[in-house]
Amino acid sequence: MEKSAQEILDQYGDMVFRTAYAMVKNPHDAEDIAQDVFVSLVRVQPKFESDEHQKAWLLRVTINRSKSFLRSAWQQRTQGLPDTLPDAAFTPGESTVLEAVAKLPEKYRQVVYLYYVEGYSSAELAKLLRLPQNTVLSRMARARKQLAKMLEGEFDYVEG
Amino acid sequence: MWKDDYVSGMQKLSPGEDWRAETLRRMESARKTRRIVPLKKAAAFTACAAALLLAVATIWPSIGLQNASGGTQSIAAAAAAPEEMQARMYSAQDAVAADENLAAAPLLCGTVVRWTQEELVLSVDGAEQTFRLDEQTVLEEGVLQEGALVQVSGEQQEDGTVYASRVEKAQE
Repeated sequence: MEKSAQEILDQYGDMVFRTAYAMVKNPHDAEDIAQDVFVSLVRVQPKFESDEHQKAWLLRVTINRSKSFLRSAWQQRTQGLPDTLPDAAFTPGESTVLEAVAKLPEKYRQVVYLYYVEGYSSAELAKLLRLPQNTVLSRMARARKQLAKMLEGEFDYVEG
Repeated sequence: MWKDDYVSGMQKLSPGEDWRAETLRRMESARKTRRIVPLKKAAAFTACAAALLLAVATIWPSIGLQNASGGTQSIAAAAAAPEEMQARMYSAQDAVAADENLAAAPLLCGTVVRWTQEELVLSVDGAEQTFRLDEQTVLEEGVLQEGALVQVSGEQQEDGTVYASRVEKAQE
């Protein structure tokens, strides 16, 4: 049965917004991108075989739109809005880690977010991002290494 | 562990209520727009069919005249047909022309068209059903990248829906 716009938004609104935020690092830009993704979903009305299929479609479109945004001439010329953490009651540990992850290159932020927050395996990520699994694994390893360096001495976080 | 703080921090992120209300409004608006499109496509399909019938109807009288046994009734009916067909065709064409988004029109007769990147973006975002099956392909294959020239093959179904059966980068 076809879901209503409200149901789709309730089910995937946070996920699409977080994915966009993980990519563009600014909540206002992330909201704009997320809104475009949902409007596109309604306009195009792709046929989905399952909820998982729909989720993967939304993630891919969000990632692609975020990449397009980051590469747009306007964004590169103006450097966009400054990276900011959204208003939320973060613990000191959460703020530190979110800021550290935000300093990672885009391709590393992407896999870190999808792996840890969305719970995709490296094999699933390879399929979703259309990358060889070894590339996904090496990006994860490099991301962890850079985070370890950034968080060194801050907290007792750093491990595989 | 850092990953626990990362996950819990990310899970606290949520778009505001204003965003939800505005997104919902835009989604509902887009859904209403979609309902209009099949009617416009049906009109365009009628234009294609009418053009074909017009061609047949134009040729038919001469065939009928050559067949003396064809009878006057069929000749008279055939002779009357072109005006009617023409009127229907122009009417349907006007309906299509009134559509802001003419990008869908080249696909309607099942031809291969070449669109610039800008036109394709308009089609994907504006033509609603034109890429019903292939929005995913179009987006995922990255053909929307700047400067891409894209070749699209379209196919009209019996119900009037147009599917993009093939999307690929065209040779410049």
